[in-house]
Amino acid sequence: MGYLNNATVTVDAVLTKKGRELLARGRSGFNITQFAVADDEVDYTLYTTSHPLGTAYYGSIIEAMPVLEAVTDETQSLRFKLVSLPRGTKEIPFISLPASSVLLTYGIGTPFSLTPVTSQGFNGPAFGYTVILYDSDAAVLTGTGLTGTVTTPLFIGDTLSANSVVVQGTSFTLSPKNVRSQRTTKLTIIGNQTGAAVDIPVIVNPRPTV
Amino acid sequence: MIFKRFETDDIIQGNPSEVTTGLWTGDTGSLTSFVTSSTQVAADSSRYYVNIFDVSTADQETQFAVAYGNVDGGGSATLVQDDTAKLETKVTYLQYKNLLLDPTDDYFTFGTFTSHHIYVVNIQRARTRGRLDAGNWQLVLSGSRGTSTFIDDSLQTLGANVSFGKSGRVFNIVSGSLTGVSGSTIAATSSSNAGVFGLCYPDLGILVFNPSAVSESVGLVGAGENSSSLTNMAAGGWSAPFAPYTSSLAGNGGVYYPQYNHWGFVRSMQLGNDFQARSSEIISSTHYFVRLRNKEYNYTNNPTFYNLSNGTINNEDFVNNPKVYVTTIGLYNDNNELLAVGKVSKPVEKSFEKEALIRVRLDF
Repeated sequence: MGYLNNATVTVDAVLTKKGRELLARGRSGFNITQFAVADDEVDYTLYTTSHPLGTAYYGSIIEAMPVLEAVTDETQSLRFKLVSLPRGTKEIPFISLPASSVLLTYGIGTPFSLTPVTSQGFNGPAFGYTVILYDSDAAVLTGTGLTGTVTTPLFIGDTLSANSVVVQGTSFTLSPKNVRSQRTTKLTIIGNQTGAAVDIPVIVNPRPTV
Repeated sequence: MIFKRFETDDIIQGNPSEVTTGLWTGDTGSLTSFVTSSTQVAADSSRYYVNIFDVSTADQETQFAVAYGNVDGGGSATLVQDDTAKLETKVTYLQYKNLLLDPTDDYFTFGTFTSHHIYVVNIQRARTRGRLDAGNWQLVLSGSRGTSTFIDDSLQTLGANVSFGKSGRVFNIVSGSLTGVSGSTIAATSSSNAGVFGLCYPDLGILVFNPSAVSESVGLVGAGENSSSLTNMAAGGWSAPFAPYTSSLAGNGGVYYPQYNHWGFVRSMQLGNDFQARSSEIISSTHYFVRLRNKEYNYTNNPTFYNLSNGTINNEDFVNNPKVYVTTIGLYNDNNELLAVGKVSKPVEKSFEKEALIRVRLDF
């Protein structure tokens, strides 16, 4: 007779800033209803199919790695979410953008239009995208086209949101602000259905001098 | 695809449980350094109480305060003696009387002994968290008549000796120690002539000592101290504590001085050099059972898992038999706002051949 395998893993969770904020307003506003899991910190190149001890040890390096303590900011925690896809999936849904960078100049040209597309048709109008512009002083970001009702995710923490702007939709427009000098920032586009994310740099130039 | 809703049976409200830790800074259970602040000693507040710190360095933290109260005003100047008198000891006595006693009580009563004056040890709120852990504290006092150790009479069982008053649970302070098979041993329940040694209010983190009873066993210096003596006391130069001075204010050479009797108690604590205590907190836990079925969460958005430009899975072994590793669990509300985060101690493998059950405990 051997010992039963205790298959339940017990984890102690910590409140995020948003969690503390909602809890401070009262227990009724603090209502956990769903979960997501992620593999932050894991590098799958460490999955060693050439391991000298054979198949049972392919993942031994990953499984032995120490895990860091929880970070309570969404931008730093759960960055790479696990996703449920049918068996035999050969491609992970990824987001395609019409440009690899955005260059805007105040007073010249038209606003930059952005319509992300996810492979395999994911992140459609019922889910859409969450787009984060990290410097709200650089440009105005707007989003349109969202038809779903369960698509109000806030993929960022409070600290970040103080200096950034977050919008949701299926199509987005970025208009430069009247900046005094060149500003460099970043856009992050996150698929609300799949969790796929992509970053592109944004440069906003001031109005040219005559 | 990335979020899964909890089902009814997945969220379990745990029974509230008591968590105890050492009371003092750093969660240590024994305080053997009783440091005062020269800044606070010089301030007017020191006429009411004196704060006790753990260390003398800049990162010192207040552990508790010691005060002396006298309902007749003994130990502080009267308005006849000083037009600007603040009646510090009378204020202190009445302050704690209103806080701790029933409205019909005029005086603190220790057993059958009615006392017009009290020593108060008021533990800082941040130290006690929820409450002082009754039955698990002991204070050593030392004076001219020797050394005595005081505990409460809850005997750690909170049974027959507990009483509930306006201010929650109340225990008698007795002479004894935290030794013996029951966790504590009572040496004497009261003094010979002045009733029990004090009252313990664990829910408020307050210990009220009966000066007359304490002085019987510990021995305290008699009245008649003057300002230079007080200066010596503040500097730690005294070898024995003051006695509580309950009659009209005594002076030195016809000059009246407040006597700051709480300094005597502080000195007695310094000589005893040991205050053991624990804090107690009731924690409410909720358990969330995160069930990852065999068909769920077998792929990842991790950039090392797939080619970012075309989505193809990098490792061919993962195409038909993907394996991913869970390190982080996020708990969300309906607005997809992240409310809590948990991390596993080591990565948990997940594949189509494996299911994972992770119990996430959230305390608040």
